[in-house]
Amino acid sequence: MNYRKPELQERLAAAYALGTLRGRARQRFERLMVADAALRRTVAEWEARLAPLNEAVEPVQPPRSIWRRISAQVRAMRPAPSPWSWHGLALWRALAGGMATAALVLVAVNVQLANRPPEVQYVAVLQDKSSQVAMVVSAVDVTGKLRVLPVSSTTPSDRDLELWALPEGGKPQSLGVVGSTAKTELTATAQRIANVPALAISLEPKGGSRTGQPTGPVLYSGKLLAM
Amino acid sequence: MYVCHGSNGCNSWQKKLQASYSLALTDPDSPPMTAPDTLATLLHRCAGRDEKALAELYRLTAPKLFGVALRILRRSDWAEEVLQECYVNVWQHAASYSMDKSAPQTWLTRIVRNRCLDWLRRPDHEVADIDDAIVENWADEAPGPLARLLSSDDSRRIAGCMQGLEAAHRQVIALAYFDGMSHGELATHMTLPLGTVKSWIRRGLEKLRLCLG
Repeated sequence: MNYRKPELQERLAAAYALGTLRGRARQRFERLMVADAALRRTVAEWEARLAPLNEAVEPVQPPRSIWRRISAQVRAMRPAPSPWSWHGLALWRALAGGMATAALVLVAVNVQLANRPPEVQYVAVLQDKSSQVAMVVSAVDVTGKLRVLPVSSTTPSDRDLELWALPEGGKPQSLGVVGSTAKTELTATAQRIANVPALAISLEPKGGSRTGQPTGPVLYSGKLLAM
Repeated sequence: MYVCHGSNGCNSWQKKLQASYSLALTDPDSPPMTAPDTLATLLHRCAGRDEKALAELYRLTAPKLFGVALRILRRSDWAEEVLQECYVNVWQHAASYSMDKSAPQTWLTRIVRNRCLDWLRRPDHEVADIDDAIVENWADEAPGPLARLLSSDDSRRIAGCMQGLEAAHRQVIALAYFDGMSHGELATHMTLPLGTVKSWIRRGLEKLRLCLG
């Protein structure tokens, strides 16, 4: 068939819009439409001509379960937290941007720590990408324990959260696996955060990363501040 | 396949269908169509990943689109599945919608109609006999589908043009558009030669085009 003939194009476009162009002919016509703007226009004209007929179709309220299923599917398509680059600029930019919020949160943390032992020396407020506070990490002193207090973090049951020190210009250093709901104390790790500007939490396999470096997405991060 | 049988078979409803096309058009009690601008705005918000906009779009458009799918597929479970797929599709492709090219309702209807016709391509998706409640409903004379065509100027025009067609042409076009019947199914259903069906459709569409301008 010579699809270039205008009368034929008009007739096929009408049959396509009406629905009588079927099967392989319909698929072939759809492929032609992709490459031919004029053909798409002719089809659109026919669709617009016939569209008012749909007002004759009686609306039928679909069962409620359909919207629930659509909504669940749409939720499942929400973009996952992207693995930020550990070595690139993105993480550092995000950390810098998070500073303003972190400072505000620190005021609150300071109030909570008002009766803290005077030796608390470091605090890091770890936030997620939307600047929600997820965890607060504090060190009594650089020779002692790190306390990790979850605020609003969650972990899938088959994964663990791992805390990392992010030395400037160096590779992340693991500080250990931390709980997502209960407080964790990491012994003999506090000295490893001396002179480290920031901390981060990544999502790792059970028991933590096996490579010694983060393998999953960075969920939370924050600057480490000397008190 | 479309098979006519039973005492309340095709002839009776065909007559009703024809009758419904020549009904004196009276005021419908159907709700007014949502303004195209409202739907276009919602589609635009969907493109910006606004899930509330999709919920609102669904609330406003799903009953009509479900009606369209139900008529073509004639099985509620299939129509439900198609409807779900189509709204997820709309969510994914809302950014490609352009009001310059088609009205939002037309765009949405096209997605559903095309999905229904694809659905019917699958060999295990053979539709049930057309002679069922939906068709009976369509063929009902009051408030009747044609009465609903009075709800806008556009649809009043096409109702007038449909009425201007020969009854047989009107019928094949209605069965093809509303019920998704192929040429072959129409021929079987109306016990007519395939060539006759094709020529009636072609002539009917040509007259419609001239009438609608």
